[in-house]
Amino acid sequence: MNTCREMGIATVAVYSEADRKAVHVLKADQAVFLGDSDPAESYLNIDKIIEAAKETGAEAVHPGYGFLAENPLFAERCEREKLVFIGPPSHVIRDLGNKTVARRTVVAGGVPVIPGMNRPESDPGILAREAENIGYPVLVKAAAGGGGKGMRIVTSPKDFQEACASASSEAGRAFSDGSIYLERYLTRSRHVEFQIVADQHGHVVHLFERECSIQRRHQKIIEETPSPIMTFELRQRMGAAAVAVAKASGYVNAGTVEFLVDQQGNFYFLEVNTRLQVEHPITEMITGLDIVRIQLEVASGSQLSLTQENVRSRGHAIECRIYAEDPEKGFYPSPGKIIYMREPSGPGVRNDCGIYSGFQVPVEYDPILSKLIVYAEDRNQAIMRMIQALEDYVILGVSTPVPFLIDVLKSEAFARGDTFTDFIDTHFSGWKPDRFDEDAACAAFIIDELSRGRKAEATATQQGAGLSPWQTLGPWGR
Amino acid sequence: MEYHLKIGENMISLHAEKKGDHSITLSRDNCILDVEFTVISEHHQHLLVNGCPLNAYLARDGNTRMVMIKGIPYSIGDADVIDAPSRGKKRAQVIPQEITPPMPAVVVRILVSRGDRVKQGDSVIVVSSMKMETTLTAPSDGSVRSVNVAEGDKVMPGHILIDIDRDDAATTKEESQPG
Repeated sequence: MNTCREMGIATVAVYSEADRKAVHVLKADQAVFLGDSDPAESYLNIDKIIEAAKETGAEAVHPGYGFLAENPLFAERCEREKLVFIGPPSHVIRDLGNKTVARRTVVAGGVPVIPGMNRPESDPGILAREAENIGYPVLVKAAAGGGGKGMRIVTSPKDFQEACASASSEAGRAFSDGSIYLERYLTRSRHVEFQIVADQHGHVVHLFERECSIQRRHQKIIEETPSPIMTFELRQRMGAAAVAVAKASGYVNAGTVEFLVDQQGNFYFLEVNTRLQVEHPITEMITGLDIVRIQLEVASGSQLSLTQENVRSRGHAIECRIYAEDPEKGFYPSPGKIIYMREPSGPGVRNDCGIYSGFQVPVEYDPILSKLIVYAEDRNQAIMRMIQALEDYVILGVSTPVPFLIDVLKSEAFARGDTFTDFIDTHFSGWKPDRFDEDAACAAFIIDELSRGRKAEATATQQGAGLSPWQTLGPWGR
Repeated sequence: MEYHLKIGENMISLHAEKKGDHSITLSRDNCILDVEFTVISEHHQHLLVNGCPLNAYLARDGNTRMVMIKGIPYSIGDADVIDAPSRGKKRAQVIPQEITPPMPAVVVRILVSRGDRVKQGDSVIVVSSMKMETTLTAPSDGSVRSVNVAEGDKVMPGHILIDIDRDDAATTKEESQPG
């Protein structure tokens, strides 16, 4: 929306009951109420969204990161209704959105894939046999999946059936498609993805990689670029593979080609995200480009003004995702009201934030609150800058992973770039913060009590004595 | 003045003495803490703790105060205030048979029905909150007395989703003793 404002484009937001007070609603030039908080009645309801677009005279639809962003039916409906869908054509979303079709397409383009099934399967017997063939641990994945939804690692056959059922049901609700397939689960791999942009005239460039290996529940929580393992040669090969994937699938607009990289530096195609990604800001930081602007230009039919040679990167960027969740309790979601917050700021600090003081974090949706991004000359400086920014970030009212992220960034394993997808289990299992300012926190509590004069009253009524000097002082420190 | 504070799960006893309008001394197990302070707002204090500067951010949540210092949260309550009224209620919550969601959630799948035998750790119900599914398990061996919810129901912590009659009722009694 900020990009649109810069470009002089008017914006219309859509919202559900739970999001009446959401930031996107407050920022837009116009906002249309869709319906109940249940996604099926609002953000997943294609008819209502199309109606909102028509009613307001919108010319184009930006699908964002979630909900219908990778839904080919929605893209197709936009195409039919003569609305510009800011993303790839619906058939490309359909092909790539189905992980098994994508695997077949990519194999045909000569790009390596993770060993596993190339078609979805619902028969539990066949799935169990496939799992045996692939070998445990296996990864149950939603064919329509993304963002870790509908994904389960299964280490032993006894957990297999329940994992399949639960993955399938989660996928059914998240993507309206419950089909699943299996892949080998690669232990100690890195998640490295390439940002690509393609115009409608066949030009494709990549905007370098992002390393997103630090994950919990298969969702990324820390992303950085460049990847600590990247070499000039590997970047050339992976970048070329990413561009090959885009060309093989007829890709248009911004997208991300995800790879797993094993310890030997072999890379395997994972999937294509046919949309803007949550972590796109780090690429913007190091390239100086506005990816949303490129998306809008490409959608309007313009040619890419970029060539691979003139895309330059400089410095290092890191993003931390701030969710409403409790890192001391297995990253369990922690909805609630933001009583007080204070955002970090300073040179090279960007906070893409969806909350404010007084905001009620809805239980209905993914609990991301904000994305904190830093940029600096090199990796070490970026790490130090992120630690500072996290320490300055105050969110009170819900639990957040901020203290956990601080410890990760301060860890030697992170500093070494020893970032594999099992990083949290390996280095931070059962983590608790070091509460070394406990005494100061108690002091703050007591000072607060005293300045409110509460304790004094309570003591007076309990002890019935007027002897304490606290009572005669009244509120102080104001 | 004496304070008994509950910080996280720990109890701390402190003696606090005011030295001036912007200064207080805390002693805890013979450790002395000189704190100079400036109250910036109801949510923000600037402290000098034995000469070291830091910012503390606070928010009130019922009887507890959330304090954040250098990105680390501390949950603090006055034990004299919070313990008295809640003691009885707390004991009542230690009924071991409960299968209740840890947070507001929606029931996704019910894996058992009335009369089923379950073993401790068996999955009995799956709930979803903020798009994340959690499987709740049987707290002990026993049989399902009742299933109190249906798939799609919105449920809250404390809401008993499934009742299980425990095999070894003797242990139940023991655990519900005040302790």
